This record gives sequence, C-alpha cells and structure tokens, in this order.
Amino acid sequence: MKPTVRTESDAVVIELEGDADLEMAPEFQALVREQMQANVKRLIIDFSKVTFVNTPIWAVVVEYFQHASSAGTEFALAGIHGRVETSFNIIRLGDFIPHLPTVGDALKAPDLTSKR
Amino acid sequence: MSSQQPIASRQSVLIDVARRLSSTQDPVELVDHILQRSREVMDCEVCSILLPDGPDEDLVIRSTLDPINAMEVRVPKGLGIAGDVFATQKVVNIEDALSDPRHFRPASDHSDLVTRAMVTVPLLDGGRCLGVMQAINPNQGAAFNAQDVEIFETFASLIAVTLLRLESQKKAIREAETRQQFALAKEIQNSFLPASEVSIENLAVESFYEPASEVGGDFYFWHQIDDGKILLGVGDVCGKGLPAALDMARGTTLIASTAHLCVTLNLAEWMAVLNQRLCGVMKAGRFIAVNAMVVCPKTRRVWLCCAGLPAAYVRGPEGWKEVPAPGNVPLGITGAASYKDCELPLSAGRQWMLFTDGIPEVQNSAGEYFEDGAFADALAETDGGDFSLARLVERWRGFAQGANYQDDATVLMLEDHATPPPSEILLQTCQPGTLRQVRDFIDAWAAWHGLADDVTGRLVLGCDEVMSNICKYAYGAECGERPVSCRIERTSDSVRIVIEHRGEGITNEDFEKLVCPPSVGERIGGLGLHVIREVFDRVDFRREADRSVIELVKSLAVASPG
Repeated sequence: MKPTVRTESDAVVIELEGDADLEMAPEFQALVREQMQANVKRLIIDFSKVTFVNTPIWAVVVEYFQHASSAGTEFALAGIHGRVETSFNIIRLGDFIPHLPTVGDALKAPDLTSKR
Repeated sequence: MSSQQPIASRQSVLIDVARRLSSTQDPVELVDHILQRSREVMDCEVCSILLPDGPDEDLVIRSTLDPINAMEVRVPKGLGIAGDVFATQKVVNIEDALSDPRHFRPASDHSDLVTRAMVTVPLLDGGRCLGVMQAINPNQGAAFNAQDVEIFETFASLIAVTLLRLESQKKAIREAETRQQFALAKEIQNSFLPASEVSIENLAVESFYEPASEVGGDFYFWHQIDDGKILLGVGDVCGKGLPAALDMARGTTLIASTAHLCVTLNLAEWMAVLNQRLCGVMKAGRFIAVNAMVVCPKTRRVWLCCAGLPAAYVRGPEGWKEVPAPGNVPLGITGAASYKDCELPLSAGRQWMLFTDGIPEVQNSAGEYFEDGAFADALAETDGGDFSLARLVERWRGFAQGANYQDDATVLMLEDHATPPPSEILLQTCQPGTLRQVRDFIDAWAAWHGLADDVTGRLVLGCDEVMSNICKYAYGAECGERPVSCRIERTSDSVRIVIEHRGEGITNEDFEKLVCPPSVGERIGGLGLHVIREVFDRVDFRREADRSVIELVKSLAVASPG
C-alpha cells in the first residue's frame, strides 16, 4: 500500500499501511522529504495500519527526526503496535522520538517537541 | 416301633417325589410336597425341615403343621436336637424327646404339638450340611425303626438334591440379574464417553478404553471449544466398580460442562476450577487423576496439565519421548491446590499420547510390569514409519494374557495430519518487491512449528534485514539473475536459518565493523545489522564455493519440549 498524506488541524499526517519495507522505502522517503521542503510545523507518521516495518523505513524516520531537531518543528510517531513495536524497540528509537498511542493523541498534544 | 407300610408302596412314593423334583420350580411348593409325602410314608404326626437362615444361621422350621409355618419358628444355632444334628451331621433317633437333655422348644412355638418320638436326619451335600429334617411321633408304635430311618434318609437325600438345585437356580438367576445390571451400567457409563475416534480439521483423535470389570473408573474426553481449540484428556477415578463408575460419570459431566471456560482460562486455570468443583461434590477420600491437553490448531500450540497420571508422550523424529510437564495433585483432594501446565508447539511431534496407569502397570503371568520394557518395545514398533495405537493395544493385551487385568486402561492418541510447509524458498530475483515472499515463507513455517508470535516476528524481521542488505548491497544495481535461497530448520532448542546468494557478501569482521548501535546522530546506517545481532543468538557470514552464506541461529530454549 502506498503511503498517504493528509492535513489535520495544524498537522500533516503521513499514514502507512501494510508492510512498510524496502519496497515502500523510496516512496516514503520522497514523501517525507517533501514535508521537509515544505517545512511543516508538525508532522505525525501513523503506523496504526502497519503490519511490518524494517530499518529502511526507520532510517527515513530518523532522517526526518534529525531535520525536525535542527529545524525546531514538531514530530511524532503514532499507533506503533505488534510486530512494529518489536522492531521499534529493537532499534530503540523510542528513546529519542516522541510516540503516542494514536494520531488523535498526537494531534491533542500541546507540544510534541517536549516529549523527546 | 411303627408299623411298616409295604416297601413297594414306600418306593412308589419315592419315585413320585423324585419325578416332582424336576417338574416343580417353586421351592416352597416343592418342599411342602416332599414333607407331605414323607409324612405319609413315615406314617407320623408331623414332618419338618429346618434350614439355616441369616448371618446367625438360626434354623427356620417349615412343617406339615400349618400353625408352625405361620409362627415362623426359629431355633437358634446349636440349640435343640436339630441344632445338634446340624452341627454333627449324624442321625438322631430318639423315643422320648422331652427327656433328652438337648431338647429345646423355641418360645415362638405356640403349637399344641407334644413331641414324643422323633427322628432327625441331616441334609448333606458331601461335607456340607444344608439343614435337617425331622419326623415326629409315629402314628403306629412308640418310636421309629431302622427301616423308617433308612427311608427318611432317602427323603433327606432328595430334599438335599432339591435344595442344591434350587440354590444353583437362584444363584444363576442372581448372576444373570447382576450381569444384566452391569451390562446396563456399562451402557450407561459408555454414554458418558465421547466417540472413540474423531477428526477435527487436520487432527485425528483415537482412543482405547478397557475397564478391568464391566464398569470402571477410567475415562477419556475430547471437546471442541468455541474458539477452535480442542480440550482432550484421560482420567482415572480412585477405586473400582460402581462407586468409581459413578465418580467417572460425575467427572466427565463436570468436564463437559466446564470445557467452554478454556476459551478464557488457560489449561492450568481450568484444572483449578474443575478441582474446586469436584472438591465440592466428591466424598472424602475419593479423587480423580486427570491428564489434560488443549490443542490450538490455529496457533499450533499445545498445553498439557498432568494431575496424578503418567506423563504424556510425544512422538517426534527420534521416536516417542515423555513430555516433562509439571506434576500436579489429583483433582478432588483439596480445593486449595494450584495447577501448572506447560506449553509446547504442536510440531514437537506428529503423535501425542495420554494414558492411564493401567497401561504401564499391567502385569503378565510372570509378575513383570508392562513398563519394565515391553511398553518401550511396543512404542518403538512402527508400521511403515507410522505408529499404530491398535498395535500398541495388541502388544499390551498379549503381554497381559493369562494374567488378571489389575486396573482399567485408557489411551488417547492425537495425530497431526497437517502437511508441513516447505522448509526452503528460492528467489530467482532478489528485489524489493520479492522480499515479501521470504517473510511469508518464514511466517508460514513458524506458524506450523507453533512458534510464539513474538519469536516469529523477530525471525521475520531479522531475515528481512538480511534480505534487504543482500538486495541493496550484495546485488546492488546488478541486473539479470539475483538468486537467493533461504532454508530453515528446527532443532530441539533452536531455529537455524541459512541464506545463500551469489552476490558479494560480507565477512564476520565486516559485520563487526559495520554493525551500528542505535543512534540519532548524523550517521544513518548499520541499523539492519544491529537488528540481525539483536534477533539472533549466532550469526556467521562466510563464503562457500561461489556462494555467500549467512547462517543465523535463534535459541528457543524456553519454548522447547525438552
């Protein structure tokens, strides 16, 4: 499944679905870089419909995190569960990147930068 | 001396009585007839028969004098001339009974009979005395003579034969009634057992059940639960016979009525519930040993809980072996008991066997136990690679031939007919779009082998990282064939995956240099190798001929069947 982008409130939400793997990585990376170019204030990546994710995808996430850190924009992951959570925990990205149970939680959060 | 009837007349009466013996079934009618005819022949006032009755062996009188019959006169054991003859088995012929020191008149005898002369003969069956017979007060003369005694003894013989025949008839009737009752009890008991064979999805359940007598305390059960799981097992109620059969009925009923709880409870928790309910209804000193199993065809996991029975067996590639499940206290002893189960992959073996102790503990005529060696021999026998329950039963019966079965015996065998998924996959072209095939391959293999989902997830992730690296770096932009094979196998305590490709691989030294701990610093890379290291317990990169080989091993020590 292709990643999709939508705007909710003042945030951009990228939604991934199915297996997020090497095949999906280039498209996902392109989409994320578009958001960098657009200098969005708040980006949320929704993993709630993802069944599998590997490091090429996490590498894109880390790339955006680095951008967000230097640009001072807000960034969070949402809906990490199941095998995605296993992968997320092995990479230990939770130590650095804000992550919330749902997109709704991320949208309601007053300041995502404070959750790092 | 009494005046004698002609001998021919007396013999004629005897023949008539003898004929009557085989034609009359009513014992009272027959005895009364003999007594009447003997009184005629003896030409006396009264003839009586005294037969032992009840645990005290009082002698109860049946007489030609109806008032005595109505009074149900009893002579306590050992008293009176009758008691003496019953004990000594010797004829007593006396002229003046009242003067005899042994004379005893029961308080219950209110008849007008005044006893004068009396002959008393034992009713003998070899060395056993069945009762005594008395002729009282000859009508002619003061006493009975030798010929009277002789003919009376002949009557006594007829009576003894008749009594034996009646006793034998009564015994046969009693036995027939008992057999009928036991047959009915067996039929009722069998109604508490499910069908002896059943197939559910790819699983076949087969059972053998043999009570030591008509009814027994053993049982087996299987129930399909709403969520697709199957609860099955064997049980053994303490004791034998009808009490055990009744508790068996109670146990199977409770199991059937609580089986649905296995949807929400694990096996150990269900056993605890079953135990508490049995404790509430079973009498003190009674208990039920149960070996239960839950099988989930979907996740291909098995749970075992053994409470007081021999351990379950599983048959893997190396034959049958005991499943080291934790032991638990039998059910019905204490409601405070807690239960432990163990969890295994269904693929630990193609066949699983639960049995009661009547199987290993049966003895042959030499006093040897089946478990001493014959059981292992029978388990090692296969027919074209397949183990047959029928063959085991045949060996078990052959072993016990000539010896009395000592206990009920039950076996329940579960056979997994599912087709194993392939253990190897070959990708002709390793590309981002084909890597999913390897993930699906590992998922299917792991599911069949009953690996826990978190373990499977890690294996899928780890292999995908390897495949992604091969795709990106080993083959890179190379066009044409980009073959990769992935082979997976399970050992007793680990999973071993071997991935081979024709691209340029890395060495173990490269791996150590390139593996990157998680970081959000500037460098992004090496995360895949970090995942591989985290997922697997052993990783080996090597070159074999024209192939690059990656060998990955993950320990399953915790989930192993031992």
